[in-house]
Amino acid sequence: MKSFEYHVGGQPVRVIVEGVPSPQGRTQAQKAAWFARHADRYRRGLVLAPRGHMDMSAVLLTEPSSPGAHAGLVFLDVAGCPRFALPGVIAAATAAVEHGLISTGDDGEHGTRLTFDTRRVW
Amino acid sequence: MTAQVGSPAAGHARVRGVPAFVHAAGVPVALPGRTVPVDIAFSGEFYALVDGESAGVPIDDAHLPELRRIGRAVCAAVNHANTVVHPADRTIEGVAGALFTGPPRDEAAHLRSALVTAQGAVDCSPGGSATAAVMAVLDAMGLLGDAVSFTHEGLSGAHLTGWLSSRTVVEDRPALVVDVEAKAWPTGEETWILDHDDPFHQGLLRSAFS
Repeated sequence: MKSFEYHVGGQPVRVIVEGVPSPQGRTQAQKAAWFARHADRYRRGLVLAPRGHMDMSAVLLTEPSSPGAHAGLVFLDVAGCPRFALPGVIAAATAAVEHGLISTGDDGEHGTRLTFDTRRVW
Repeated sequence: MTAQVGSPAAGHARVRGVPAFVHAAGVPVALPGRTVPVDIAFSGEFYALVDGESAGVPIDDAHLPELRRIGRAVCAAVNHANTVVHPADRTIEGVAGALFTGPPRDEAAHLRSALVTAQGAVDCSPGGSATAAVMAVLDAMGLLGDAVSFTHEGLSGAHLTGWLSSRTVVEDRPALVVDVEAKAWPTGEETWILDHDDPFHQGLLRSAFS
């Protein structure tokens, strides 16, 4: 498994980009539920000690769930798959740009606009 | 949701949050030895906002064990005694964390806070969702006024600025849409191994490290 590691002024964020099963499902809620059911050992392995710790967080880039999005996000922490984690969004967006994970066609001069699917949080 | 990332050199990302609103204000929560009022706000998850002074715990890293312990107790007490459900989606239920607030160390910030999840994990950054939750509570108290930005200080000392993007309603509750801008700093690139013969390849118990 490969990850790009970031912090956003606080807890570390592990952006997982390779080596874990691709979550199945039409929506991000379904993808998170699928991951929790079928691949939770990867979350535990990457977030709990010895590879992580109590305050570790991670985010998994998935296939998008809607036509307009560049990718989907599934968040991971010690308790499971939280509905939303803003440091995870910022780290995933930064990794996507810095490592060319997502091609947007933007020239980057005025920034890159990325649209992510997450679980619905209203 | 949309994230806007600047050029890699600048590297700031700006993210628009979901409508944040106050669910309940001044809810009395019984902790061992004292009862403290908490404000419950939604900004992607529900958070219980607690004044650090009234909870009797300074917001600094020397008090992390107490913050974890009291934070867990606040979440458990709120979720035991109250039904906290999003008015538009009943699957969003219960407070996910306790947010301790207090005066900032740095006068450039408006408020300092520390977020403890219901499981006792700590985010020592100011936190984007926490920033929107704080802004919703301040606005409901009439303290945000016409300010368009709010600077939030985390336990680490990091600052995060929330920008009031627009006002809306969630069902019949006034709500704020807040943009936050922050920078993710790279710390490494890792290759991980999960050896399935390792009896602890699924990680060690989290309770052993809290």
